Amino acid sequence: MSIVFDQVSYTYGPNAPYQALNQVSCTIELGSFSGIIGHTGSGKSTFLEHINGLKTPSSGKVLINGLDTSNKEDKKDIRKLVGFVAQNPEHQLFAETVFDDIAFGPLHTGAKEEELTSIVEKSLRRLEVEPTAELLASSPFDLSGGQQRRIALAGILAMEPQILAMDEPLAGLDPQGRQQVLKLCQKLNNEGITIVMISHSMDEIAEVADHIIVMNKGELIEHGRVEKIFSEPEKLKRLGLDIPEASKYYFELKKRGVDLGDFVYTLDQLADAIAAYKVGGVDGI
Amino acid sequence: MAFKVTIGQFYNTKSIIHKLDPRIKILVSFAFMVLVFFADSIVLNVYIALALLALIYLSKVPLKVVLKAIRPVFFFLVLAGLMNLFFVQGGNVLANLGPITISEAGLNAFFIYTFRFLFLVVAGTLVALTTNPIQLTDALESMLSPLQKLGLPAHELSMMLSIALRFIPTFSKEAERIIKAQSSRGADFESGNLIERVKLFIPIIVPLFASSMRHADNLANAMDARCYTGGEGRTHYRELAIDKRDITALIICAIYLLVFIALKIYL
Repeated sequence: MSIVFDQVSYTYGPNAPYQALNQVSCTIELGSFSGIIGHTGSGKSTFLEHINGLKTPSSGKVLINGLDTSNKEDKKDIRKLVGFVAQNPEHQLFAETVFDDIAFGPLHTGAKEEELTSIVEKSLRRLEVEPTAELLASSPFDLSGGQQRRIALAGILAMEPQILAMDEPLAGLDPQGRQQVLKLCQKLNNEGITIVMISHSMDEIAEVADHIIVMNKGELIEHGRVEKIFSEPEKLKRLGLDIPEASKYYFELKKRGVDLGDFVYTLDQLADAIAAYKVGGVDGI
Repeated sequence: MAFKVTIGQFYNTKSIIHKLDPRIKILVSFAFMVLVFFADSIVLNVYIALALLALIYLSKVPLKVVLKAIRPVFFFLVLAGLMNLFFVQGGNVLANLGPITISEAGLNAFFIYTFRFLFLVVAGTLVALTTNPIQLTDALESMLSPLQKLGLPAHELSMMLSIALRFIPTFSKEAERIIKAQSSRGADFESGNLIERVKLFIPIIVPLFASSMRHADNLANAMDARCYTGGEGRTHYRELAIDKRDITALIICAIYLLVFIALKIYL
C-alpha cells in the first residue's frame, strides 16, 4: 500500500511550451513523511495535485493504494483517502459557522447526520482545539488567521484521510504559528497519516520529514532519505537549493577540522553532537 | 475543471490600427455605426463592407479571430434575419411555403438588416480587438472629462473600470484554486442534479467574495501608502496624444464619408 507514480507526465494543453511533469516515477510508502523541495515552477504543486486526482496524468499512472486516479469511479474514494491542504487553506472557509464548515467534507463523502457532531469535535481535538459550543457556533470569518487555518485543517481531517498532501501549510504564519502547525503535522504523522508536504524551508523539512523529493523543471531529480539528500549540498546547490542551517554548521566545522561524526540536519542533533564532542578525552570544543 | 476567462477581446499585435489613439477609434467607430444606418442600397452596403474588410486587413487581426469574436451574436443575427425574411411583406411574392410567404420586401429586409447588424457588431468588435483595455479606460476618462464640470466623476469611473479589468485574471485563478480545494473536500462539481450544483456555488462564491474584500483592502492600502488622490491634476504614465497618424486617419475617414454621401445622393 503506497503512493505510486509510474512514468507520469503532465502538460497544460497540447500547445504548452513546457511539461509541468516529465516522466516522474516514484513510490511513497504509507506512514512516511515526505518533503518536496524545488524552485517555483519546478512542478511541486502539479506533483501534489496528482496525489488526490485534482490533476490526472497526460501519460503514465498514479496509483493510491492501488486505486488509479485517472479512473472516474474511484475519484470519490481517492478524495476521501487523500486530504489536500491547499496554500492558505483558510481561504476556502465559507460556511456560516465553524461547525458547518468542518462538516462540509464528511457530508459530501457520505457521513450520517448523527455522526457529524462527534466527527467535528474529534477533528478539532486532533488539532488541539477545544470544540466549545461557542467556537462551533461562531463564524469562521471572525477568527484570527492562525485559528482559521486550524479550522480549515480540521475540515480536511474530518474526512479522516490516510494521506495528507500539503502545499506549503506554514506559509504566512508567524514563527510561533509555524512551529505549532509543524508540531501538529508531526503528531498526525505519528498517528499514522502519510504526509507529503511542499516547503521552502529546509530547516522545517529537516525537522519533520523522513524522506525528501527534489524537483526541478518538472523532473524528479532525487528521492531519498533526509540525511542522504542533505549530505550532498553540492547537488542541491546546482539546483539553487540550500541545506538546513544545522548541516551548514556541520560542514563548516568539518572544514575547520572538527569532525562531529554522524551527519546532522536538525538543530537538536547539532546541539547533541557538539555536546558529545570530545577533544583528546576532554569534553567540549 | 476548466475555468478560463479572457479579458475583453484584445488581440495583441502591432498594426497601424493598434497604434491609433483609442479616442479616435471610439469616435470613428461610433460615426461609422451611425453611417451604417444610412446605407440602404446594395452599393452603399458593399461600400461599408469594403471599409470593414480593409480595416480588418490593416489591423492584422486574423479573420478567424474576428469571426470567433462575433460568434456569440451569430445566433441572434440568423434569427433576426429569418424574422425579416418571413414576416416583412410587400412587393411581388417570390415563394409560397404553406402559411409562409416570402416577398420581395422581405428578401430585401433580410439582406439589409442582417448585414446592417453584422456591420455594427464587426465595427464594435474591431475597436475591442485592437485596443487594449487600459487604453480603452484611459480614452473613456479623457472623453468623459468635459462632463466633470457637471459633476460626473470621470476619473473615478475609469479607475473603477481599470481596476475591475485588472482583477479578472486574479479572480479567475482564485476561483480555480477554491474549486480545487472544495472538490478535495468531496464537493462534486461535475455530477449531481441542478439543485445540488447550484448549492455547491456557495462554497465557491463566499470564499471568492472574502478574497475580493481582502484584495480591495490591500489595494486601497497600497494606493493610500503612495499618496494616491483622485482625478484633479493627475497625470498619466502614458499620455494620450493625437499625432500625425491620427490626423491622417481622420482625413481618410472624412474622405470616406464624403464619398458615402456622394454615393447616397447620386445613386
